[in-house]
Amino acid sequence: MGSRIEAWLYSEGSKTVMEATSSFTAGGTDAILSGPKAIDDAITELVADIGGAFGITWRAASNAYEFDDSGAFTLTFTGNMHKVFGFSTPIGHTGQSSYTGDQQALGRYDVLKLECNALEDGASVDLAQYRHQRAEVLAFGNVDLYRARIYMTQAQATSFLASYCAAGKVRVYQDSDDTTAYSATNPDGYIDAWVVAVSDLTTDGITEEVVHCSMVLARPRS
Amino acid sequence: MLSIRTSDDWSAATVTFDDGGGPVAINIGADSRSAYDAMLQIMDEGAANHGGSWSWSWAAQSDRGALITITAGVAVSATFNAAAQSLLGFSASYGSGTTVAAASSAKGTLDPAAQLSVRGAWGTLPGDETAGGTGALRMGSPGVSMFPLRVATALDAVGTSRLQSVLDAARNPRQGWLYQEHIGGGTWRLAALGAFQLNHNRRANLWGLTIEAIGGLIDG
Repeated sequence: MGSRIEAWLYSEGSKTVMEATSSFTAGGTDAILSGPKAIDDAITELVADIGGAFGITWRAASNAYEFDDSGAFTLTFTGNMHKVFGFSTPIGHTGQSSYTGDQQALGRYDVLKLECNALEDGASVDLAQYRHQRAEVLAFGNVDLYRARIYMTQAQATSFLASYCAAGKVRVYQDSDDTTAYSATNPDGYIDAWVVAVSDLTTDGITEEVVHCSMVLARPRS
Repeated sequence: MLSIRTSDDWSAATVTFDDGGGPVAINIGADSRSAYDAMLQIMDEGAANHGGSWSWSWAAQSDRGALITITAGVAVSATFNAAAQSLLGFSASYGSGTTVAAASSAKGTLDPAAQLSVRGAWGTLPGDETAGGTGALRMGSPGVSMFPLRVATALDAVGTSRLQSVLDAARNPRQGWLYQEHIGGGTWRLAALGAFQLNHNRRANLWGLTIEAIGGLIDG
């Protein structure tokens, strides 16, 4: 059992470079995300857009996604979609029936472990200022706050802080085997929440093999 | 090893290699503002001009600076003009061979016996690329690292003297290349260098050095 963090992908439903995480083209057919979705839900919609035997599968050994079809096809990503799925380049994927990302996918991190403290009340609105005083972030109110600590490998840490899983809306699977949402009767289910802060980055080991950081997540109250 | 960018006019430095086909000069560019930057340029142009695989290495000197050795891809003779001799520590000329070893430490380099401990270097935040997650409001400053690098070492009395000369030579704003040995088989990290703090241990007569550093630079 492990934990994982997945990004929500933003889209306004069009195929443009400005929409960095909305579309790709496979075999001459466009797959365009209709609106913001968690990456698993986005994959379901994008696969349906292509149709046929086309599929997208997570490959844990590569920490990236595999795109495959029944025959050779050309895969072209728009915007930063290739980074989301773990590809270093948006083009050049041609002549094969299967392509697997060659680097850590920025849309999904199978982190080693996640500790989550008891739920905190986040009713008030705070203005947070970073200690080097170059950036401010408005933390919104009327939320439940989760203070988590995530543990990852050095290889994951090199890209995690700049990934889609360290900002914006994310889906946190406390137990990667439990793919249903958190509830009072399913306390280890996944949580859809907004990243409020990532801080206290700490490394363990002589060569910094294990990296852990604090992550504050805000889940809007319904 | 620390290779700080110095206030010197690096564009005055010229290195000339001759593989038998006639001398070819490498004019160190104004953007090469440290020994490390200069070596990158020499490696690129040396390989392009003469072929073969070029590399360079360094060794700690008794003055706690770094002595550079160039390994050329083919046998070359080499000449260094006055500025290149002063900045990179090489002699004026070398006979034909694949190894060109400097005679003294390169300017702006600090290579203490304890080596530098560089930890917490986790890349820089993208300036304009990976915005696009749903509701993304990324923490930190685009283009720089989100967390400061932790740089530490121990210096003896000679090392503190070397540090003083390195800091005297630094250009403003202070920038430098830090060699991080334990990740990726050795990685150079470009950092904005803030405060240098020395703490003297009288019993051992050593100084603990910590450097306030932020990875990534807006102006490169």
